[in-house]
Amino acid sequence: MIVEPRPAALDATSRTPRHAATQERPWRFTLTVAACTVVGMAAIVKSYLIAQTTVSDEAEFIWFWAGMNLMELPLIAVIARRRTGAAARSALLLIIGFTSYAPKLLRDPGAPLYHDEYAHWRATYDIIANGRLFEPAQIVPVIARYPGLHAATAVIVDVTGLSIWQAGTVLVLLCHVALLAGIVTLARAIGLDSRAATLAAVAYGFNASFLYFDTQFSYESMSITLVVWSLAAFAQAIRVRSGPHRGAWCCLTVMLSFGCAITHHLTTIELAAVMLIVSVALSLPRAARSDGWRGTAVTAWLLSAFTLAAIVGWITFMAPATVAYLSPYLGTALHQLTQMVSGSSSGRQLFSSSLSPWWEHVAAFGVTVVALAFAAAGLLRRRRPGGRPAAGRERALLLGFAAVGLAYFPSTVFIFSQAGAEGSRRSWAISWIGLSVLTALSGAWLVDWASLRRRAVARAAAMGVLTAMTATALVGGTAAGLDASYRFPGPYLYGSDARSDTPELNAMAQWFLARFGPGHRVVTDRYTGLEIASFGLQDTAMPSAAFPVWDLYTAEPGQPLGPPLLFTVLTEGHYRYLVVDKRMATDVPLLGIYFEGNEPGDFVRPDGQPIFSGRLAKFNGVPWMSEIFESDNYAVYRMYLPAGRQRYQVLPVPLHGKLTVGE
Amino acid sequence: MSGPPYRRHQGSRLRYRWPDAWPCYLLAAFAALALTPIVPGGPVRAVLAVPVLLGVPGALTLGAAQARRSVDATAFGALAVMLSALWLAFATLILTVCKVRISGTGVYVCLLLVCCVLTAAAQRQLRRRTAGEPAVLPADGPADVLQVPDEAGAAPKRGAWYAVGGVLAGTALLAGGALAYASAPHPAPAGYTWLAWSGAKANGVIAVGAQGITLPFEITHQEPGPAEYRLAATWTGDGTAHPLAAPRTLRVSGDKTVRATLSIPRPPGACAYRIVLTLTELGPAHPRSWSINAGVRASQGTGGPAGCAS
Repeated sequence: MIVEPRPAALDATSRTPRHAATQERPWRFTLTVAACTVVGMAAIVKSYLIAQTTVSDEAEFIWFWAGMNLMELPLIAVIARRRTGAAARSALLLIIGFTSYAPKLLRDPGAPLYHDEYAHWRATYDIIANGRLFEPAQIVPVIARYPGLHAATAVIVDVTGLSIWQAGTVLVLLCHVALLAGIVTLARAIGLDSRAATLAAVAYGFNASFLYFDTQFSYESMSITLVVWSLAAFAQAIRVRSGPHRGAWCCLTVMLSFGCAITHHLTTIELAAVMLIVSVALSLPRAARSDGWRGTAVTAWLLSAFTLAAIVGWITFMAPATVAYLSPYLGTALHQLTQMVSGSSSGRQLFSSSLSPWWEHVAAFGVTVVALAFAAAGLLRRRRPGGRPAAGRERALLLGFAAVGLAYFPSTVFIFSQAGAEGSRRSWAISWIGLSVLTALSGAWLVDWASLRRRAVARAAAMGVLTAMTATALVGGTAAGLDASYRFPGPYLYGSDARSDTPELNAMAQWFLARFGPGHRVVTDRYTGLEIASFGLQDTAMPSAAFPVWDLYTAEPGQPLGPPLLFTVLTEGHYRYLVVDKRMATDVPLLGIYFEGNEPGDFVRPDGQPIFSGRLAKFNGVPWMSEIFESDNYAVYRMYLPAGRQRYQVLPVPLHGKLTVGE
Repeated sequence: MSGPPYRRHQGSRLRYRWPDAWPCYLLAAFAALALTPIVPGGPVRAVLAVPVLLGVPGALTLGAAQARRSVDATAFGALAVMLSALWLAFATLILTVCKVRISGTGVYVCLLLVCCVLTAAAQRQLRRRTAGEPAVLPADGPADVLQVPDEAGAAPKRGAWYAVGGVLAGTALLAGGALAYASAPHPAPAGYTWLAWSGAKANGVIAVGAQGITLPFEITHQEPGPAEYRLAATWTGDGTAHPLAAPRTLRVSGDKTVRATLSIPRPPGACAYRIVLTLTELGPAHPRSWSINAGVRASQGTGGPAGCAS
């Protein structure tokens, strides 16, 4: 028999909150909340309109955060009220889910802009065009072996007639909303009541990936929702009595975790890790001992083993390149951290090239403090008599997810390492699943505590502090994620993934496609390559130490181009076109790289000038190259490889042609 | 008097009640997807097809797994969407394993078969529950934590309507924001000019026969106002430019593409010549210029390599 202890958030106090006794006017209240939400949305639209014309202006941040706070805080306040019904909370959470997609929708309403979005757009296009999965992918080759997102998108395109971008947007939007519903289901399975569970979903929305990174058209956006639902089904399988119900939830866990394995590598590995942590907690007699706890633990271990086997099997048999793709990040991050600890490296300077205002940076640090305060309060609350569940599945689940949540704090150390920053940030989407449960426990209790203050001033002050902490988490969580160049539109910004798309680049890519057709091998830089490899339908080179295409660009005029090995690879790989962005010679990229992260680090001289300065015009004199296109900022060269010994006329001879225009 | 007919009528209604036959209704809805190509592809068809495509397979899976009643309306809908999205991916995997080309029709047929199986399983679960399982939860505790009756608010049956309301309100807000943004004035996109060859694709130095050759190219001026340019053609071998044709001045109006050609006779000797076309902006203090080039040589050149540089 399951003993259902009283949820901690509900037994925070036995007294009725004072605000409950006041006379309420529900329609006025509802209209106020609705008006705040609409005005908040208008403010967000205003912020994006301001951002269009400025590289970065504090006004756009002020309008944006005013809008977000106006839109979300009233809804969160209603969710946190004890008198709000469970169904109404679900409805309000759905509204938060949809409206929190607005920043990403307004950022790129018509076409992909983020780096991975181009890759998934192309992968989806290839499935539609070729009718096959696992075709070699451009930009991010490993995504070819994880077809979950683009296969589903391709089907939606086929059935509905929507464009790839529209279909992807619909799918990601639904995943985004389903993610919050999944957190609620998971939190309820852990034992939280609907108020605390909904607050957990709200708290999850403060993680660095929620507003932008996990709303992009990329495999993580779908897989994070699958992870959450896998964990919800896993927790349900543990919480229900053995029998058909457990079997049902086990089946769903298996299906969801396998779906996760075919969608994204890293999140599935993280999913398996979380399930293993929870399984360990369920095997601890002190935490889990209750009727049938051994059977429950066996169920948990079996489900964890299946998930682990699914991702290991998929990587082994279907996506072996995943290991080579992921391993450098972890290895380099650990190496850099070791260097930092030993003092031989200063590490990464946070927000060094950020376009966002100082108060966002402060909030980004503040969110860790707020999370720590809430998590500590949640743990302390659980340790007090009456706040701690009896030994059993609920306590073990809570212990397991608390451990996952607390992993967030040590993971923040990796943010100081250049290689570990990205992985650290991506892990937060997982660790915040556990952290949100912890913070929701204390959040619900603190709301009750604040509303029970006898003096109105004390009540208002307590509520004000809670509101300020929530607003800090909302601002800081997002600020700790992607930079402003990803978040806001604006003028062209050299070397930023999300602001490199211009009409000129688009026109060049379309000219190339119209003139030569798809599928040509092209050498170019990272930012030009995004458009060429996606809408241009060409196959761009993947620069590496073994294929150092940057040597073509860095060679000084008059010097022979590249090492012989490079020409061998170019010739055997049928690379026939070189596209040059002339701004490489004058501008330093915002992201700090011209090609990929593995490029040599000396492309910017100590005086701040790019090494390419004065070295790009040389291609016009290379005998085995012809410049076939030139626009304001781009030049396209045809490479005649293997390079022959072509002899050119140097002595003056009579040769007279004729130019004819418009005839 | 009216007893028997009334009872018969009620009986027929009961036989097809939603709670008893919802999997069949959903299967029918999925089968009806075959009719959606009547509607032109785009948002209208998407409004009809997406709820079915991203709802039915998942809902049937939950029904077949006997999990439908274990979750509230919001969770049911969300989980159904995720499972449906997975089924779309699984269907493409099945087609790949069967070596069938992935297409809308192929996936539809595959998913229809899957839905038939899921419907049969879900109906079987419904019949078993109706036949034997108690309608209410056993007294020793809830079968599922989501059914813990500790919540205030709407009755469970109204929860679905709250969820629908939340979805509609959220969609309306999101769509309103997107429309407001789209209809607001946006800065004009930055203009550009390009110069490019437009003839047959050359693979190396172009051979020129006795008749000479005409090389077509185009100039695109993608800016609001007109602009004046000077177009020049030269040839070069060692970096020194030699005039090839009389320069032309041309005026290109805004957002226009001009087509032009360069005609050259067969070049003398056996060497290759690098032909360079240069377009220079007229008027500004710092005029921009664009150039393209190509290698040409006589198809059967005479003479030795005396004047050639390697």
